Amino acid sequence: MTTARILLIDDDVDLLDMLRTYLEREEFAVTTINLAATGVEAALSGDHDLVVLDVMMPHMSGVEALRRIRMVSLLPVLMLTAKGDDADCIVGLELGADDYVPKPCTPRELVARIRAILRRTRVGEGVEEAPAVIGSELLKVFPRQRRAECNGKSLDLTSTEFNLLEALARHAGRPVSKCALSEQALGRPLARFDRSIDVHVSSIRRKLGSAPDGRSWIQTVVRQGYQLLAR
Amino acid sequence: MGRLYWKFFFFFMLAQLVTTACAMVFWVHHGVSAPKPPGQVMVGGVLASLAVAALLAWYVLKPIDGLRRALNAAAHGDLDVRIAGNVGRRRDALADLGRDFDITAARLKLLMDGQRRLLHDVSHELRSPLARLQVAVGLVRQDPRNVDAAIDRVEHESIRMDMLIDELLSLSRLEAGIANRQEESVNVAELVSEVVADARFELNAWSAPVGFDVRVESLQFAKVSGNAEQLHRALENVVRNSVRYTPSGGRVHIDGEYDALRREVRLTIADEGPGVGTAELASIFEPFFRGQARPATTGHGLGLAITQRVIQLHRGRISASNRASGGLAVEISLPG
Repeated sequence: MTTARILLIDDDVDLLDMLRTYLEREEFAVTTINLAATGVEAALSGDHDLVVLDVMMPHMSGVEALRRIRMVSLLPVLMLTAKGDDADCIVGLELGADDYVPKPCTPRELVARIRAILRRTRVGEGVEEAPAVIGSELLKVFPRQRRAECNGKSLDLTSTEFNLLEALARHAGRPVSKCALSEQALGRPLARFDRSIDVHVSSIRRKLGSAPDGRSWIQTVVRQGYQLLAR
Repeated sequence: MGRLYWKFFFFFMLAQLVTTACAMVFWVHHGVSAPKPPGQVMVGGVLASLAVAALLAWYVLKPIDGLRRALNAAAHGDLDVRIAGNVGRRRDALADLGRDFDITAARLKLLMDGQRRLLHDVSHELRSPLARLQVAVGLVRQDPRNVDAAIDRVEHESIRMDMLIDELLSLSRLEAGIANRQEESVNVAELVSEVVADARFELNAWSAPVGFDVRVESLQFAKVSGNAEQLHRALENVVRNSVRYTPSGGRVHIDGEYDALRREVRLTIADEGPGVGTAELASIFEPFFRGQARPATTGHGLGLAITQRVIQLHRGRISASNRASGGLAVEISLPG
């Protein structure tokens, strides 16, 4: 496994320095940038595997930076949000952040989240046991290549969205609980009142459009979770 | 429409009935020669008086009802409700009451939004040192040899948090306007030289070469009345800010003059830093505002907000502008 290249964008220079030290000892290659605008440029340079982005930054908020990144790139993004500010989390997830960590958090937690995202992002890992294609005629998921097609058209999914769709496709026709989805797509147990899965599912729905019979591809099963249509 | 409507209605109608009855009595006693009106006319009269009473009561009660609903909404936290629309083109005491309500609601909303924003900023500002502390702890856990650096960090961050809380409390006292009890006569020239001496001392500690050009001779005898401690702090915040943004080798210029015509003391503190974007000039006195060109050593963003409140409490004015030669100039006027 090559060293994962992490880009940290935060306005707090001291925090960046300390996080860099911590992450480097955890054997990541780290770049730090304390201005959102420069950070966006760096994120789009293609030199990084994952971006950790702070929401509260002067002049250009993390949400705006994320929006600019997502306009052109599906690079995995982990948001640092203020604890208790749910609006920021939801907006971030809607714009396509892969996950969020409330700040202040312990660096151990941050590393765990980074690893969880990277583990599922890397193409070519665990390929042996993955089937080549799952899903139905119209909606195909290719786990080895980490891409999906709907009606023959390739879908632009973030890595978390892909993970969710894959988990649903593996159990197509049966409901999958939100807890299981959180474990499989985000690599962490679902916290109480955590709406991450719902937000991710709603953006996948938007990208999929509706099935031939007019229903949504992903059905909500009350108190059980979500279910992908089998046909 | 509630009880008040029916009361108005009842009294208007009563008034009309009494008038009619008096007219009847007058008519019967004085033997007016005209024939008595037929029954239909009598009934029609009573119905008309009913309708007029109802209309009048409605006309008076309608705006009161609207006002009541608006107050109710405000009590439940909805300060966006306005009643100017309901009042229409009315011009009377009730319409004025409605407009007063609108003004009050708008002002309250502004204040509450400000407080909410402040609370949000404060929690963020208090969390930043906590986030750094958590990483410091993480670094020690990762490698116990980091413990010395972590202890330094804990000390540094706790001092910062203490200072922040201190500034917050003084800002909140100033907002409440309770800290201005002790009025005394303050010599501005002395105040300036004290602040500059302190700043020089701190600069030595940082070993950053920033010089001062102080020209306050004309203020030698100028005095303002107010709280010396607060004024010291207000001035100190501006000077510190200037020092922070002045590049190494630059100078901070402090000019004072006495405007005999307007009877006020005017102080200008100018730096040689990057200045502030024109659009941001007005916001630099807001709590937690931070300019685009942010230096490495940062304050908490409360200094200039405190200064503004102090100057306002002393019935003075403060404004900021960009100098033609580059840098920010803050002008303070105090009644002398």
